[in-house]
Amino acid sequence: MSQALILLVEDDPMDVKLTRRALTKAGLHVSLEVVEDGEQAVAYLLGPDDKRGPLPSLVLLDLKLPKISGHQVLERIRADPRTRRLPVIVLTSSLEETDLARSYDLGANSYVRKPVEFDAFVEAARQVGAYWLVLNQAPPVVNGP
Amino acid sequence: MADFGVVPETAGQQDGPAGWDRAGTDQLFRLLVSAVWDYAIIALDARGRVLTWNTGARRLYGYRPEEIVGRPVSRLYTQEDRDARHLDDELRTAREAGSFHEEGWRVRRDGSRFWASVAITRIDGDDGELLGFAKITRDMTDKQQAQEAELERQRRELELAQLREREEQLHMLANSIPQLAWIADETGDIFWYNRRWYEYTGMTADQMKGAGWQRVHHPAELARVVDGFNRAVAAGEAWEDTFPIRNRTGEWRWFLSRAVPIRGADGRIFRWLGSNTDVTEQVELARQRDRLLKDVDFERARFEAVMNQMPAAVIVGEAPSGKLVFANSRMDAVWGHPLIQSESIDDYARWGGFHPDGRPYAPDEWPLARAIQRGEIVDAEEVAIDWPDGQRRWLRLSAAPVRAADGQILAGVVLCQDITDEKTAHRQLAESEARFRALTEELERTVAHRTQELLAANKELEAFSYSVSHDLRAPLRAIDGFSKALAEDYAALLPADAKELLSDVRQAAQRMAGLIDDLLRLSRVTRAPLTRTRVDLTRLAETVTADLRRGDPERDVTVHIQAGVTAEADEALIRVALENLFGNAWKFTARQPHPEIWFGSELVDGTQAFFVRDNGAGFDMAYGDKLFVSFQRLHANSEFPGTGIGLATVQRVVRRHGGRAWAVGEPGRGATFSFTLDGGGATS
Repeated sequence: MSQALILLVEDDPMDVKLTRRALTKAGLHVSLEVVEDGEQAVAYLLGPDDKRGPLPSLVLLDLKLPKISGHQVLERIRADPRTRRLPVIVLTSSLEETDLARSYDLGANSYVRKPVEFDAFVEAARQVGAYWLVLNQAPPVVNGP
Repeated sequence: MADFGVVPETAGQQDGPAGWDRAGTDQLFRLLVSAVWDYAIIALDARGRVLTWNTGARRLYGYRPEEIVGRPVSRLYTQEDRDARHLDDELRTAREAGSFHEEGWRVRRDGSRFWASVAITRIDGDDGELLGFAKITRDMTDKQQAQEAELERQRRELELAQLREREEQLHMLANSIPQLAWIADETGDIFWYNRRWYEYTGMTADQMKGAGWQRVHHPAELARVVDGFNRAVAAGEAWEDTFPIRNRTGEWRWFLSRAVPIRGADGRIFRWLGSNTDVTEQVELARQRDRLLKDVDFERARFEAVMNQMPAAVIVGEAPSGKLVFANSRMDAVWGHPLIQSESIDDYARWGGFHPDGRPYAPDEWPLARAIQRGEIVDAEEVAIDWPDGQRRWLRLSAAPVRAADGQILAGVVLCQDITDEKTAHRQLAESEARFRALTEELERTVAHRTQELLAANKELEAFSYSVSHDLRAPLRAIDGFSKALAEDYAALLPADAKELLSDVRQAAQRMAGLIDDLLRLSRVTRAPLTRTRVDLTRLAETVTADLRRGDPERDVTVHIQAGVTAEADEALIRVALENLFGNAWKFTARQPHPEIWFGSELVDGTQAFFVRDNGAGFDMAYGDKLFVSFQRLHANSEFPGTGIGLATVQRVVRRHGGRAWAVGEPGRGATFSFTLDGGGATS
């Protein structure tokens, strides 16, 4: 079994660094692909066949992104048959109700608030990885048209 | 001779002496003539003067010969005959026809008259010339008197017959009329009544004999009636009176009674014809009319009293002419002059009114004219007039038609009120209203502007909150995460105090994260919409307590929660408040060997209040005013950690519910935090 591929959509390099460390500390052996804004995320997931990346097992999506917001990215993912069933975890600092509600309305699978305390962050990463990559049965892969 | 008159000398001389025979015959003739006793035989000359005067003439006329011979015979005639020159007619007839005959009045010497039969004969001379006339007169008085007596007798008989006829006619007439009627003799004694009289009175002819009529007269009226009638009879003048007469059933009815004298051919009154006409209805009507007139007078007096009490001027005009027939006493005060007598609507032109636009009122435009002519009801029309002193006044006129039962317009009434002061006040009011409106609009603009600003500020606050939640937390996470990474990855290289410093960095970062979260919660409490429902506070308090026990399982705190406490409140917000209050109580009882917390409700000044009480550290009331202010803390962080935002959040929640929050405490003896939720109808 090859390493699971996780797509992290995050513009803050420090958060990228922390997330990578938290996933490692959590003992998850995953391959992490990072894009820094919404536009790149759409291009990676939904771009032309020759330009887009391989379909990840899981997308960790920040909401507050340059160019195209996290919610818009989520909307595009759910609109495309190829990525419609892709597990998307919203990983953000916001606890705003509107953000929460909108995320679920657009089809987010989970909503996780990034804790400030690193130990808690590691614990969160571990639990998310354990659930989505191990425990949860992945949706069937949809073949391209 | 001397006793029997004379033969005038002239007659003897004229005839001249004659022979015996002749003389004897003439003498004899003369004696004969002189001696005739029964006839007056007089010779007249051609002009009617007396020539001879015999004994009969003297006896008949009373003149001696010397008193009359030579004088015109017309002396013996009546004055009327003399005036008519009757003698001339007689002589002319005798001259022409040879003789004249008549019967007629003649006058004696003493002036008395006697009825005479007269014959005048022409006397001619031998050669046919007129010598004079012979006049022979006989006294016819006795014969005349007998004839006249006979005539008189016949006349009386005729008169009696006529009277009887007239009497019968009177009776017929009197019986043919519907009135009661009667006939009295010339002295006023009634001797006959018509049939209607007997039918009405129910009396018999016997009962009516004499003064029987008095039986049916009212005693109170009798004396006056009798007196009046007697006086009329005495004066011979028609009589009239009105009095009651009793009918056969005993009812008194009123009669107009009249009596007129009936005169005979000789002009003397011989009867009185009386009649009684039933006028009971008319009398009743007259009485009713009197009563009505009295009522009308009373009504009119009352009407005028009311009209004159009215604060408005009232004017009444007749229909259809428009003639003004009434104005009350306010008239002068309102119009500034007395009523202008107006006979027609055209005369209204003299009242000088103006429409609000300054156009003068045409006569038929006046409200009174419209009410009279068209039956229009005019409600509060404003008219400008100029008082005689030149000041312009405003009147409010209201007019209406007065209609008869059949709808015909009888008159029009107009009420006039002076509204000059009212209009002035109204204009001033309008001006101040306009000013007020301008101010209000200005205020509203300001409020709208401020609201805009507040909305903008709120949006900014939301944007700020959003940024805080993201942007401030991200660096904190980095500080904490990398401090941890540093301590882990370089553990071998770092001295122990460096590791402790890194730990301090991480603690500071984590406390700041807590502070940010509290601030965000405070912001949410302020911004979230308020939705009241019936909230079970008892259950909510139990949930909050359970959360606290789970988060701090080492603590052993006794919590007393009153059962059945509910309130009309926003559940999410009230939960934040209870979390803060219970959290505080939990925290400040940490050093208490037997920590206890109480929750319940009680009445404070008649209002339901809720409280969270503890037996913890308490506080100094001197600083009580700082308790509910953001970031104000009464305890050192080392003593009791905290952000200083919790009670400010509670305060916000309570205020948004229209209530208030307060605290009572004492250092070392615990604290009680209370709040009300006014307007929510809290119960327990």
